[in-house]
Amino acid sequence: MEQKECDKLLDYYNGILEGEEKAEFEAHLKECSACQEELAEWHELTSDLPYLSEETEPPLGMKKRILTNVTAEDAQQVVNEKPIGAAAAPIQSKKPRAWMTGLLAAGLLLSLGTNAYLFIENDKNEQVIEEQMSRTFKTVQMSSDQSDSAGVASMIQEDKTMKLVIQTHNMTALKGTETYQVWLIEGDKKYRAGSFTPDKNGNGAVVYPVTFPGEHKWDAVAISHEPTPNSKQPKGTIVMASNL
Amino acid sequence: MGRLSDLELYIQVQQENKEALERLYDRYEKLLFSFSYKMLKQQDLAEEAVQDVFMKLWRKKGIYTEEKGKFSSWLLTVTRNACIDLIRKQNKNEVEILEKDIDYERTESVEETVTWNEEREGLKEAVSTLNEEQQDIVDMFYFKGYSQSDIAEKKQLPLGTVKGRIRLALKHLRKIYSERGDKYGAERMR
Repeated sequence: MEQKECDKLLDYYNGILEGEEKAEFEAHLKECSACQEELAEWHELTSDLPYLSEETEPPLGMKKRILTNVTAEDAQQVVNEKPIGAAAAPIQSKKPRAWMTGLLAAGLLLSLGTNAYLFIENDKNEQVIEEQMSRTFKTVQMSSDQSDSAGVASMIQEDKTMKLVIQTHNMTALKGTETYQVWLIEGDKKYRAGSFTPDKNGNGAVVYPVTFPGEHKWDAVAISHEPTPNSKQPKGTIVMASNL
Repeated sequence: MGRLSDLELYIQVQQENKEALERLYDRYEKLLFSFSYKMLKQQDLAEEAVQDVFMKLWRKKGIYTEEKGKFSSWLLTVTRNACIDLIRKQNKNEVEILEKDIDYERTESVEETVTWNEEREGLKEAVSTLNEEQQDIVDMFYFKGYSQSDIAEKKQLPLGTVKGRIRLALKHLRKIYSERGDKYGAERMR
């Protein structure tokens, strides 16, 4: 039996073990001095290997993104612990997401914890634009029961591109790097579909070209309140959502 | 402002000093990104890995003490673990990636950046003395994070021998690399 646990050391080192198996091994590791020594040996034997990596230039803006995200996450935790000023209050709801439909809630919540790494930022191609609309496929109303925020989401075909158009009003004012982020939802996957900040009257809109590769059957559209414009998956509170 | 050691900066980061976080970031950005890129082979995933590392530092999820050896070694281990997590998630098909055209930047920072050209040359030379199978095994084990059974299957080796093969290759690498280091060290002395 003991021998069997010891044999798992290398897979433990490589992060293969999960859940119960990992916990069992860690318990074993605490007791087994041979494994402790061997683990130290593996660390020692491999400690130079990272330096085999070719020097690679980080992508543009990485430093700013990372430092903003790292410290903003922190700020968000603080917000959650002690709710701040009135501006954010309607969004920091006491019973968050209670209004969401079952399907949508499942879809959104399931993967809040999992990390699907979807898309890199779409940067600044998401702005308030007046569009010539040609064919409207679908239009749904969106509203929040936590605040007066409401909006309309439409799928529009223009030339050969499908565009998602979102118009909102009575949006709660944002602070600092906070952003409203639009998501298209398919099953339990969420795709970034533009972000916006409302004007001083609480109006905000987005036109987003839906050009994700492959076939998609969108189930829903949602808007979340994010701590920074960089969330690759929803981190903040869902403000409103609607099935498509 | 003199040059602070990694440990001093780390302690300041633990005290939620953003400036120290930035300095530590500048120091290690390139090394951690390059290493993550080697493991993950995708820019955006590599960025995600580096972010995970600094998130752990900032949120005090990863605790370093001097007993754990050199700070840089510890940081690289944390980075490797972050990469391995991402590899596993990728394998579970939770990932959909769009590569975008990425611009590169030269970080303009006064902070001294860790460079490792000399080490890399020495290591590459040492790796070239391994036979092809050994090189593959090291790559599969360390950079790809394969399980022992995957390596056994891919290299058609009995499961029980995989660990021994990896160890032998790594020990050999180490020996050649340190001998080379000694030689260079001796040359510098003259």
